[in-house]
Amino acid sequence: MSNKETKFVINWGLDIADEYMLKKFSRLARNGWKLDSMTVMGFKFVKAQPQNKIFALDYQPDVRDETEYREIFQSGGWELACSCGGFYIFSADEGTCEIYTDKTELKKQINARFRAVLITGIVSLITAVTIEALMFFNESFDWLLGVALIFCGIWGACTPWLIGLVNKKRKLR
Amino acid sequence: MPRKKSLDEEQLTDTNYYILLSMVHPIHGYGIMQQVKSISEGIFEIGPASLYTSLKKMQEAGFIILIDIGESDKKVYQLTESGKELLKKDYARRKRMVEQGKIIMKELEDE
Repeated sequence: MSNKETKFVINWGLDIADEYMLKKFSRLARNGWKLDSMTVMGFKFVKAQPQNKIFALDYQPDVRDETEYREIFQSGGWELACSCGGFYIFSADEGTCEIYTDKTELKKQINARFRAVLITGIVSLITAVTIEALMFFNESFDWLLGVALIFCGIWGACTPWLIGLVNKKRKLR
Repeated sequence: MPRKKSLDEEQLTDTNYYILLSMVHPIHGYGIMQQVKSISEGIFEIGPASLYTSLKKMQEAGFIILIDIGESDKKVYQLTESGKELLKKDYARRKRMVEQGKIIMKELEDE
């Protein structure tokens, strides 16, 4: 999707398809598209000079001093392109040292996210099933259908997310 | 909490060892990477995400502190007393390891 000046790229999930998307951002940069901003749904690019850039993703749920955070990355050659929900996308010139040189912390962060998403998924599934059971045995609970569907949806979103995180853990081994 | 335990064990990762060395004199966050490279004669490079996460963990564990020096909102990191103790202990541990290997390595080199 693009008009002449802006382009929109769907977010396939930064824990699911991050490698694919980060490579795509590099391709877009080479073709003269600069990453401008992001939301949960996707990324906005604006027309700019073609550049050879690599991209990296960092997840930091609790950055208290964003200036400090950005300056540390800048000192390593990485500029913040955009961020949303604790996910930060950085760009740098090709050949720049990668943002995680010590993978131990990265593994811990992925494990923590995995646990959080797993618990959310299981709780949602159990809630949805419980509501469905209530509805099955007692008609007066029929109004809860919408609520059950919401919890089903949450569980449905958690499943590909968990698969993505398991894949990330496997790659880091 | 496993994370704090690994820091309390008085054994630093190479990354944290170099970070603490760079803070013997107060230093800005954005200067640490360059200082580590300089101390390690260009060999050891820390990625910014690894650096930021280490700094956060070591602050939480009380080994370093980020203080406001009052000029245009600039902050610097410095070692706390427990941070200095930790660094001394880890340096002694690394030195001991080299000493323990010295005689044996000499045999290897004489072959």
